Amino acid sequence: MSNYIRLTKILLKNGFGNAFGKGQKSNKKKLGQALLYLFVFISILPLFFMVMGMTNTIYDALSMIRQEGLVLVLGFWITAMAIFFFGIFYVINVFYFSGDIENLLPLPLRPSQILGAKFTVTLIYEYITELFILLPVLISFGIKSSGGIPYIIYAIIVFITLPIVPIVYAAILNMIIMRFTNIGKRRDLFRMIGGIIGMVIAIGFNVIIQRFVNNNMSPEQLQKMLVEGNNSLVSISNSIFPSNGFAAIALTSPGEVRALVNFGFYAAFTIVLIVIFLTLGELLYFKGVIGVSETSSKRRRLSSKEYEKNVIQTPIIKSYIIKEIKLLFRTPIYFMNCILMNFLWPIFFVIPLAANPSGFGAFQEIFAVLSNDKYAGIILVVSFGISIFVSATNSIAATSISREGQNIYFNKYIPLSYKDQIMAKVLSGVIVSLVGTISMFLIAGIVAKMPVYLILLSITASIMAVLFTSFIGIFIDLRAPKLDWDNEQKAVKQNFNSVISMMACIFIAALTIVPLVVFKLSVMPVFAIIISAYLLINFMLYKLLMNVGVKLFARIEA
Amino acid sequence: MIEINNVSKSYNTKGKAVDSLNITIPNGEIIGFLGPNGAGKTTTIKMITGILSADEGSIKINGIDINEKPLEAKKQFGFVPDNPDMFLRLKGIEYLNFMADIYNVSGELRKQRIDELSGRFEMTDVLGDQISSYSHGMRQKIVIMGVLVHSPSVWILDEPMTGLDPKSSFLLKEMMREHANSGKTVFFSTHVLEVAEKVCDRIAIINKGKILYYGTVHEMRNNLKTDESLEKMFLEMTENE
Ligand SMILES: Nc1ncnc2c1ncn2[C@@H]1O[C@H](COP(=O)(O)OP(=O)(O)OP(=O)(O)O)[C@@H](O)[C@H]1O
Ligand SMILES: [Mg+2]
Repeated sequence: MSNYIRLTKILLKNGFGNAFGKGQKSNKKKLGQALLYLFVFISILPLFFMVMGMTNTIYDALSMIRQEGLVLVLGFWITAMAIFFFGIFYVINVFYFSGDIENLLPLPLRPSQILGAKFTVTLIYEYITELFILLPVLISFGIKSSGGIPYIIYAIIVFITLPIVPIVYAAILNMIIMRFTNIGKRRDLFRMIGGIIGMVIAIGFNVIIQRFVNNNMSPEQLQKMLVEGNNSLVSISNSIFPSNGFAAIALTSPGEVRALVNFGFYAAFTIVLIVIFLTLGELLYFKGVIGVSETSSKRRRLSSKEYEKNVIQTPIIKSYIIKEIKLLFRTPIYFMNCILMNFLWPIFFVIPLAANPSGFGAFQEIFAVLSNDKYAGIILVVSFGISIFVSATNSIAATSISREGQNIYFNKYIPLSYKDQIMAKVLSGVIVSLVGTISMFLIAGIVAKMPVYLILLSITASIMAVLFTSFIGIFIDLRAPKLDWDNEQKAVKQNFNSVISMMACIFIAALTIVPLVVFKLSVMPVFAIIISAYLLINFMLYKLLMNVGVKLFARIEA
Repeated sequence: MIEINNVSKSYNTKGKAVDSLNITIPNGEIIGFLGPNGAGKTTTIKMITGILSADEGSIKINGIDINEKPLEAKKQFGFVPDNPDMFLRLKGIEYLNFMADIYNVSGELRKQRIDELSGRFEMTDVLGDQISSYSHGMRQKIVIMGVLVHSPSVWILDEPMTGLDPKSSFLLKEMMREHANSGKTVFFSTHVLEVAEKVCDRIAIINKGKILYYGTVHEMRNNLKTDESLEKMFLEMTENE
């Protein structure tokens, strides 16, 4: 136990210690960072109040049929799903690919102690996710239902413990995949394929469970329960997270005995899962994690054909771009956070539809919208918005300097100008993002019969979007790159630059997109406005990078 | 040729890591750079290569100022850093080809050089594997090969022998000699005094950021009027400070 606590403390200190650049800071820098925190906080507040407002609205509607508890169920479900999906990435990064593993393995620690500590760190990080989804729901519901002190107590415990179940699911899934892909000579390749398969299984599993649960009721039964009121629907409306239902019941009737009983179920389920997780961990963890850093190697002479293929002169910018993209694909943490993420968003958008039994109905409606000329203007705006979102969240440009880490000195002694290096990094981000967005539009074209001219316009607008996010991203990273990391995880995930750049991009894009939506322009004007506005913005950003950006790069000390 | 004029550098307000350094490293010679841990060797080398900028003073490589014309100056030298752990996810061959692209080496020439170098360093069989699968010494060798593939006129090496096996270390010393004999420059730091004594035309000894001695080992003996080993002299000199 004491080992577990000690380890947790060290991991936390190591992780939180420097989400920003370097260690010691001047006062001016500290002030700048305080302002940044404030900026992040303020720009997130609207989201917080939006969720509160939505909760209130749904609460009022549902309370008319005395089923207001469903709001909690919905809030819990969204929170748990979000934590589960991000948890899959998180767990694989923190449990398997983080650099500290090699230092931990030689220590006399049990697998469950390492797992427990890493689990706790993950849990604490997830509280940040919860702040924006679960917290406003809990607050709104508490005020509306005036549950009093018992509600507050239950709510606090639920806030602290709710992420446990989804993280355990994510962890078990990963442990199984990692255990059984940790074989053979090409294990790094196996791993990546295993990771993708795991993701697909998780999504598929969830869809099936959703259907099953929802279809399992006859309409008459459903009707009867609906009329019954008294939050009767809460008890049946749960999916792969049964404990959430118990918690919701406890919170809808906090003063009553049944709250206590249901809360007992909630606690019991959570504890049983923790025990299962630790027991499985003892069996699977070491077998999966040992040798995780091994690289497959052939150790044989290159054939003259391979040699000819590899040794060719390439213009330096192109060569640099290829190098960047190779590293993104070959480093598991970069692959998962930057590359996979880039292609996963469309899937995230589709899950809620697929999970719903009437989903195909909904699909049909969306297809109809997509292929209807009347909506072309708005569709182009949405495509542009999605392009911004996808390329801003893959963080490729926003971490491109940070990813160099301690090896940043290489960039300083090679005879390649900072301008060229910046542009090569920008372009590598642009290319990867574009492959993601273009394939998305092509799929939309094939599946939903989006008209060809609209696909072409979307792709053109997407080029503008992707350039924009990449320029912003690298500029923010140049300001204060996080170079002082000991594992790659810290360069991409625990890097504040990617958050700031994401928000800056979305904020600026929202300013330009909202008016287009409000004025309901038709497609050609929308296209003309987006292209001309972003040509201008991108040109200015380019100039900024080539002047200020280059100076910032020169100032980075290795 | 490397000219270092009155160069100083401090990392923080307390004390200087390098203090008013003045040395000129001529063509056609191998210069060894010696000094205790933390003496300022790596800091000096980082300033020469443009990784750090000097607080004061100027540095010229083949007559080109590293601050005024950084790109031109950087084309003059090849650099082996003290830690060879870089580009671990690239294959050896990809790394060498990338370096050749950066320094604009023609296709034919790089083929010929990579072929020859990998043969001499016994790396032919591992070029197709990722650098992360290399041992420390193999990583050191691939970085050295990355420098030699663009054949710079000035070699700047930070502790290049660390981790090399006797054969490779012998080979590197031989290549340094050839390079100097062809009228070019070699500047390297080392902790191995025998190497310094045997291969260097001159040595520079630095301690606490200041140059204590710059000249041949022979001159040093004459000055001190002893026939002690370099080791003895080195220890006494850095002790007395
Ligand atoms: N990044 C840094 N930040 C602050 N101080 C540093 C940094 N790098 C080096 N120093 C300090 O500068 C001085 C010179 O260090 P340097 O690395 O140049 O020594 P060195 O001669 O290369 O030593 P070694 O033989 O151990 O490699 C030392 O006092 C060291 O503590
Ligand atoms: Mg050193």
